[in-house]
Amino acid sequence: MKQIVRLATVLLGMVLCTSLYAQSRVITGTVKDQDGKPLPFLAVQVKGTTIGTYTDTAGKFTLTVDQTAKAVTLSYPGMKNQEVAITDNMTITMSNDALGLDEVVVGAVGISYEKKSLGYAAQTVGSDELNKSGTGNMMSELEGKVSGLSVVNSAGDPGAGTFINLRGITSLTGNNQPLIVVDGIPLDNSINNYDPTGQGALASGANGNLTGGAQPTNRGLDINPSDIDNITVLKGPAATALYGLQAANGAIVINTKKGSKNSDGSLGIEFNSSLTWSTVNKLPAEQNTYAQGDAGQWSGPPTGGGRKFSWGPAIDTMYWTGTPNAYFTGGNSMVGAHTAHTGAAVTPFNPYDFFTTGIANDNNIAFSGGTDKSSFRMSLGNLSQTGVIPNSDYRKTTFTATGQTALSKRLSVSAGINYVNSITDKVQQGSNISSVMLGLLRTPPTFDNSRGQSGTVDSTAYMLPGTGAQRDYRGGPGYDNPYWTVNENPFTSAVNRVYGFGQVNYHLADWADLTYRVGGDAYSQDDKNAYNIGSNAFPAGAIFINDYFNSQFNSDILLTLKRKFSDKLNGTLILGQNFFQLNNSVRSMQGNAFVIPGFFDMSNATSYNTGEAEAEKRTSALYFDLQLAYANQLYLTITGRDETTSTLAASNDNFFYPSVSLGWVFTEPLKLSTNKTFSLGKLRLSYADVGKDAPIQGLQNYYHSASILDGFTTGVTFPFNGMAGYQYGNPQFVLGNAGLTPENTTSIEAGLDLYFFQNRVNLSATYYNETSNNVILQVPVPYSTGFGAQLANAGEITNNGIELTLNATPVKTKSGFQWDISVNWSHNTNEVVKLAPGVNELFIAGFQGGAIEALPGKSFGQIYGTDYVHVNPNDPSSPLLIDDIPGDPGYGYPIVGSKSSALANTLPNWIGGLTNTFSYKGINLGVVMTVREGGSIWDGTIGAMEYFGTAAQTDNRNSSALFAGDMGHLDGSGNVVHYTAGNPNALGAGAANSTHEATNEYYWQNVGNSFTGPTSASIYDASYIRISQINLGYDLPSRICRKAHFTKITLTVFANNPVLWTKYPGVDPETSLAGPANGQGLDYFNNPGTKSYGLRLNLGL
Amino acid sequence: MKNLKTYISAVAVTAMLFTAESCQKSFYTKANVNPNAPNHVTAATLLTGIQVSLGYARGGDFSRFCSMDIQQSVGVSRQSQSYENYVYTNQDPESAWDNMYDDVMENDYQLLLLAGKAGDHEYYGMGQILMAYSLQMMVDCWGSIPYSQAFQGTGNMQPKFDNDKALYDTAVALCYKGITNINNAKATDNATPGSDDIMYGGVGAQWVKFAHALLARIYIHQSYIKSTSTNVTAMADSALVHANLSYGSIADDAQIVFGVATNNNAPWYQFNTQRADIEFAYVDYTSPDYTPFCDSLLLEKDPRFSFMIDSTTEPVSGDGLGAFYDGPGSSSPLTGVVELSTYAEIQFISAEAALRGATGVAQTFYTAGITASMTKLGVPAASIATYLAGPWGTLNVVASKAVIQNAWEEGIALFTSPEAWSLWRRCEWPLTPTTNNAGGSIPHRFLYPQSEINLNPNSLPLSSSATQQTPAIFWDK
Repeated sequence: MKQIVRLATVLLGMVLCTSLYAQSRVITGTVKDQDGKPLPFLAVQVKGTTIGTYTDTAGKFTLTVDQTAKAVTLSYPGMKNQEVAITDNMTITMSNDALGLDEVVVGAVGISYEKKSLGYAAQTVGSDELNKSGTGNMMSELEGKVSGLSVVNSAGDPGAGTFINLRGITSLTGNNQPLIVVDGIPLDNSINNYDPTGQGALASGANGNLTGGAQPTNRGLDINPSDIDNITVLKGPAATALYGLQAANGAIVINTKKGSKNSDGSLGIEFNSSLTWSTVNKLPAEQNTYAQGDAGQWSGPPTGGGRKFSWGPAIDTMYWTGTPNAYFTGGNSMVGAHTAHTGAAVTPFNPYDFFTTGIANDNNIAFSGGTDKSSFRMSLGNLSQTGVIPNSDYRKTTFTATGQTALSKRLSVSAGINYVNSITDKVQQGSNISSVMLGLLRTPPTFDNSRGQSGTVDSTAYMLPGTGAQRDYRGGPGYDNPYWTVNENPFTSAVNRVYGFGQVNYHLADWADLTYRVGGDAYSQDDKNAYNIGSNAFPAGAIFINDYFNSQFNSDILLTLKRKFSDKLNGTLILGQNFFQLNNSVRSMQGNAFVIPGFFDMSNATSYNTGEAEAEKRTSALYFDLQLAYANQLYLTITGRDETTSTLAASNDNFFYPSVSLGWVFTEPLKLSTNKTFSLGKLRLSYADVGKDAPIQGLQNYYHSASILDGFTTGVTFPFNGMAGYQYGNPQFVLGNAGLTPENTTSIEAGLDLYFFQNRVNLSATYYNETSNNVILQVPVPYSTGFGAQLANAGEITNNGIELTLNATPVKTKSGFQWDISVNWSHNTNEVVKLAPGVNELFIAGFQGGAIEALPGKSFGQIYGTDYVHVNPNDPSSPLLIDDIPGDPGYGYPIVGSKSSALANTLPNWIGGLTNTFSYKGINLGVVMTVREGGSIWDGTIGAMEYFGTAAQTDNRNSSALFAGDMGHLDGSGNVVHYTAGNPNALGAGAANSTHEATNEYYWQNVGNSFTGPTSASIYDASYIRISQINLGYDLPSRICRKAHFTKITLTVFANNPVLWTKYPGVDPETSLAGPANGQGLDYFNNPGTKSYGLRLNLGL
Repeated sequence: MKNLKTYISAVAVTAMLFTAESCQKSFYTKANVNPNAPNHVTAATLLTGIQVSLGYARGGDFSRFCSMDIQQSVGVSRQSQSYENYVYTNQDPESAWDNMYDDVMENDYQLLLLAGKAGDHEYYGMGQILMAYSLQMMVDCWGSIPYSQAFQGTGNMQPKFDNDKALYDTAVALCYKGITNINNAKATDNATPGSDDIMYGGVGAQWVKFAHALLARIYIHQSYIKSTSTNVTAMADSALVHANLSYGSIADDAQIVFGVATNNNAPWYQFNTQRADIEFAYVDYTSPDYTPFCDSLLLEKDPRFSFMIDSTTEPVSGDGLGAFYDGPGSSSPLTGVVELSTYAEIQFISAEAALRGATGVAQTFYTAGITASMTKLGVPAASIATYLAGPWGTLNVVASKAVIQNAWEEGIALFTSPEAWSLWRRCEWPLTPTTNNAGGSIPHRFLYPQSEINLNPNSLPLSSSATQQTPAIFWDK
């Protein structure tokens, strides 16, 4: 924190103008903190005047003062203000401020505000809290540590995406994640993805509908948490209004570590290393009683009808017979106990032996140091992680260098550069016939995917000898053997990224500073995904290369003017100008049909498709920020931003949005600051109005290369047999709209901060109410218009909620024992008030039988699909209608309806985090718990497993159950009727069902599952309580460190996600099929989550 | 003084910020133009796209739904297993509807605008004939659909539904206009189709035959009133007139030939390799039984069996479709074909017309139809002769029975074509609903897609009550 603030102080020191005519003398001094470290960039001011300066990087200051000057006042964020009488060559020690209210929070565009003055909610997470898990994922480290921040890790795959969201969904089809800002420069957090077996390029972006493919990464994951000094989370529009349209969803403001001069002038070296072992934490339960086959009959590869199912005979009645073959090591087929046999009894295999132990090794080293005028920091980090799924891994190397120097009394410059190289070997997932979980969970318990092997298997597990054809449980088309997938369907994503900033500060006068900050972020992401010959998705083999290039440029000029109007009233006015440019491009190549098996190269293909997409965006803005502080108790901030964006038509591409916030320390007049019980209370009020612009290239229609597909096939893309072809739309089927206007969110926020017992307990509560209007969406239009949708401003969404943060130190003894508690709790109510006129539902992601949609009057992200028919079809709480048609195969079972409706809400009622920290003499124990209450997931995985007969609950196949409900059926017009002796269609439902029906294969395949039955059969509560982290650390006593020539040695053992309590039957309910995109709440053969254990060593030299 | 200087520089900086802001508007607007998509295209690139899309749609959901409904194929897995039992939801026809409106007809509409403006007669005529063909296919599946107000984009967001009978008349008019336009093609025309016309290589005369074949089909559909068991001789006459003006041999067939490249493969090939939910040769559940359709072909010793059905394929592979329809086969260079209308169909139409009162010898047409169908598949002449000498070679002497016999044979010739379903609806060869028919009777129409019900209130009077049985298409009443 301190280091960041130093920089901030340079920008905006409290140096006020004064007269220069009096007789003067020169005073000097050195300022240190409690530990004796020099404090650079600290504001020193002559008492009663506006004369002042800063300390340099060695903590020294020189000041020319009037002869009459008696004392100086010193202020530094996080420290108590001090007043010191002027002496010669003063040495001043600043003490930490228990209340923490003089702390400075870095807000939008790098402007720093005293925490005390804020009229809105902001929360800061320090470096210590960000490097606990050993996963190198900055975003997942924030889970449970900030109220109002929702974090969803899509899967346990190395490098899998993490979806973060503040205060709910505000955009239907656009980005809903907060802006990430590193050292004042926006960082791209895109999802670049291609799903060759499903949605193609539509699996990319915030609104991507990934149903298959490989788990995508959002590029914010590239940041190395070891280089982060702190993260400030700006939650609402009032806090981020100055950032403009990019930060309409809040902002994650990251300040990286900067160097400083060490007290002894030496080079500071920090080193940390962690080793983490991870395993799968939760998997769906499978039955292991019944064999492969159908209708109770065994059948297996390579021929035999019904071998796709696990509806065969009881395994314990079967024996292997014949000689082993390429499919079975036990014998070439199975026979029942009544048949003469010589073979071994059949025993079930455990498909979950497939998973392995993942290992992550994270190493970071940093050097820092400096002189009185300059300082620097350099670091090198390397994370090498393997996943629980064989052959999945993630390797990330980061290099950073930052430096700052004061060139003169007026001019200082700073700069930082970060380089990231990451390589991910990804795994196929989801609705994709190469999906690992799909192949694994449909495998019958009597088929051994590994063919008797364990660990790293050889190719006989998944490839038939001689032919090279695939060995899988169906012995032909169907699903890939998971071992085939991880060996023969490689997906590698390689990222090279550079981002950084340069900044010049010029101290124009005591009351005016000028800052120019320029920075950028550029990366390439090169994805290569191949399918060997014999893969079920691409039997002839295929290769997909997608090269993404993204660059952003950002500049801000800030002019800061300060004035002290009276002893009580201070003012700061900041005028700024921003320019932002974004360029991205995708070059896609698809090679079809390999010649040489196993040679994954474009040259090996026999036909090709290529494509390119380029996008550009420019915005510029003028903004101001006026802060007025009155008598240390009233703080008023007014901001305004006038933005011009290239994504809107020239006639309406310019828009303005304001914010006003007020912070009132209402205890100040009561002089409570020394009160032992209630030290301070503050009220916050704010109003803000922010905009979001339109999608790039959304204004007009174009022709584009023709393609056609249906819901079952990948279809035809052009060129077709060498012929070009074009179709009309933007993109396909979508109508552009030249009249688009910006989306607009207005927000009202009120909060209360209370500090008790000299900050032993502090409570922060915030209520907010946001309304987003003119939300842009692809408004579906009837296909008969010739199009599927039109981009239009139509939606309205509201979010309101409560965020609570409680920090307390219940125990603090003289012996050094301390217990700290930190609680974060938040509740958000989201409502999609309206979509476009006549639009009653909007598809976001998923499948026809399990979709995530937005519907008016309901919260965003409804699970939409079919349900059982109820006695009152419009009342889902009325009894089920039980089929009463005599002789119907469905007799006695609930009737499956064909109409789709909203079935469940995917958003949680509340989320919370609880961190307990215990420390005693260098021993630290931290336990982080996170809770999600409410919200559902559609678990299509279970639905398909029920259909295929592998789910544990299909074990009841030889028993029966009474299906509660009233007897009846639907007539030809869809009315509820029931069967009587005289009238087969007597109106209304009949008597309650009283007969038991078999829970057999018919039931599971037609009624009880969501795969062919109703969507509602697979909706489960995704609530959980988890211990997300446990850390036990030991700081070696300093005398031991010194002997070993270290300044610091810390050893930590930790566990991530060791305990999970949930009723959810699938994998870890923190999961997302669509990855870090808007369509959360889907589980369809998602890759599992993990738990991990590790060791970490921190060294300081 | 020093203060003044600072003040001036502060003002200067502020002024600079505002200057930077007032950049040229084009600096922004130019950035927002898509450099990867053209604003204008040629008629040629639209025509190819329309033809491929039409072939893919017809050979895709349309073909699958129709062939399962009349039991030429068997849905054995996933959604297709439901369809097999006639259980469709309003979501199921979305792709078929959407593909026709967005991929085919919208772009055909754009082609008509483009060719009309440029005065390119042949492109204009071909666009009209393709529109007529699309309309006929859509009406056969849904009856009343939007047309006169359709394809307008934002110009009309809720196109009204036009009456199905009126749309048939519209299709007829489009055919006539198309023929006229093609015949009026001039050397001075801007652009003339060539290899971009993947059906006929830009030969206008072939398109005229195609238009007549479509007219023959449209008229024969209206040649019988089921409710009163009445033949409409005038319609039968018209059908025969246009049949005579139509194809002269199987070489004239209107069809889309798909490609060997993965992304150019025929729709059935893609479905069978990517989904494998439908069987042709065997019924998975009762393996190794043949499907009822195969059983009947084998029973009648139909020599087309081994061409239409790949009985060597694994029973669970979901394949079993002959390479003619779903190439490329693993060992042959064949590419899959989607037939739009054929010489064989024209012969059967002629036979039906004769049986319904038009002047002509039904048996001659019937024999020519069978011969054409078999020849095209590659059946040796001797086998054709044997079959024709058998019980199915001669039409029943009772006209009403002969119509059904003719329809059954035509249905085989139209294997996997949606037209086979229309034939069954009109002529009703005996067909019992499949065993697990929770959905009830064999569908007589498609359900309206949910999106149209939701988004186009004009559809509501129809769609809220439409089932898979009613309202029947006007010619199916």
